[in-house]
Amino acid sequence: MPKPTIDLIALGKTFCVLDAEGQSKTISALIDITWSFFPGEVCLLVGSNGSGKTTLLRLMAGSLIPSSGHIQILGKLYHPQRWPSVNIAWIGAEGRGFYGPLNAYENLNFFAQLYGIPEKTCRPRIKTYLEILGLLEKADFPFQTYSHGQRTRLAIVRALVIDSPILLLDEPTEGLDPETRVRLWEILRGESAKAEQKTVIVATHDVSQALPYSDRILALQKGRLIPSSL
Amino acid sequence: MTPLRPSRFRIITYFIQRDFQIRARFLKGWALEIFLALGELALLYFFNRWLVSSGSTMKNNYGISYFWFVISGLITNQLCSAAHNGVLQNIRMERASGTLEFIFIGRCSYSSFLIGSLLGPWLMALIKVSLLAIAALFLLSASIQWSQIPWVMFGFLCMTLVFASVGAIVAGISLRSGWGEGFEQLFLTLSWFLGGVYFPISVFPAPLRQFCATLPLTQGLDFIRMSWFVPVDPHILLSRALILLLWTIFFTAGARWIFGVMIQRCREEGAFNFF
Repeated sequence: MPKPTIDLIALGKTFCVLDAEGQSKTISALIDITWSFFPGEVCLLVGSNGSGKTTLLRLMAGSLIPSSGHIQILGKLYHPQRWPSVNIAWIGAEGRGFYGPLNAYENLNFFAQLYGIPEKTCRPRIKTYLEILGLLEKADFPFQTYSHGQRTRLAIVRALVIDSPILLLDEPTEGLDPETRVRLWEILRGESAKAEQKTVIVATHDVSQALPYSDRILALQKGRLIPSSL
Repeated sequence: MTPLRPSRFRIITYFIQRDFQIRARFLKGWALEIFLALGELALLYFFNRWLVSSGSTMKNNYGISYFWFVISGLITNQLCSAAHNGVLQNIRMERASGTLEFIFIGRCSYSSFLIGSLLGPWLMALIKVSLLAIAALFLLSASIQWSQIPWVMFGFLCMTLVFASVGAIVAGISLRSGWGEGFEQLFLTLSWFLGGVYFPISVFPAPLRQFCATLPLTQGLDFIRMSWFVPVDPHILLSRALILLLWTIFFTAGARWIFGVMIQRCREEGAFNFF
């Protein structure tokens, strides 16, 4: 059995929020999650709104610190005071995270270089993925002129260009047309099947369409792992 | 295999490149800024000329030396504001566009991020103040102490770092509370009004004057003006430079620490992308 890419050990996350009366209240977003993700697999994160899918992805990406438990990435215990030491391709749900005045090439170049991909290598990769996801014609336009679906597609291109062993995708099919959705699932399946054996973790409501392309499902309900998860 | 993290220097150059790409989309606004700064200079010059030729007794107070007193203040103001606003606005922009967490997930260090955010706007401001200084020299020559120019540069560098640090502190505090703006207003108002930008602090009553003298902007401006226009004993310059350096270290180290703490809090609370 291969070594897990990500190990979640009794992971928990609580948030302090103010209620309508201004009283501080503690909410448990995730409770005692133990799970392992393996290289070469596509794992679906499913659950209703507010079940903790995005929180779990953010914890693995490093933009949230767990309140309890541990995360191991590629066998190394991930210290909460630091950021993960490996490149993690992450697609957040909000805004998709690009600079409005810059075009697709400028945005993707900046992030690829920041993530350590040399300009020579990333240029052809950017072009290839832009073409696959049907954004080549739009690539010279500023990001702020992109539609919702185009923004999502660009975020997917970035996640693929970064060439990370771990892809964390939060609702990547949101706003995409049916044809592009299928193409995306095929791409993700292809990424996991590559020689590098990437781990692809996708939070989605689009379960019926994603099922044929996935290996396992991690189902969450009110922050807890549902025992029937495969 | 995860690609190697780029060097700090490279990361900073990526930020500068990105900053110039964004600003290139707003060149008209930048050109207008330069035009207005030169307009301010021209107004000051004509006011000065009018006073000198009018025979008014005020000319003793507002002669050429006053012109250069204000010019040095304006140049410092431009560079410090660019440093302060540059860092602050960049961090706000990163947060609003949702890119802040991508940058840190990409293993970019806080220092590289802060320096990268500072340098783009600061270099733009440097171009602006260089034009301003050349125009001022063209209009009214001053007895500049050319041998002391490295000290002037040192003064500008320290002041830039102090104000950029304030920008980083404000941005850090703003990331997780509403107190950032208040702190910013307090610091800037105190600095610009009491720091001797537009008039010497000697006009203030004694207790206020003592307080003003301790402000980093007063120390910095005093140092810059002294080393720019007056021949000074190097020992005196050195001791003043040391005080300025200590302020700079205090602010930059404090800003780095506060920014790091605030980012950690954001990671605990999940406050990266909401206000």
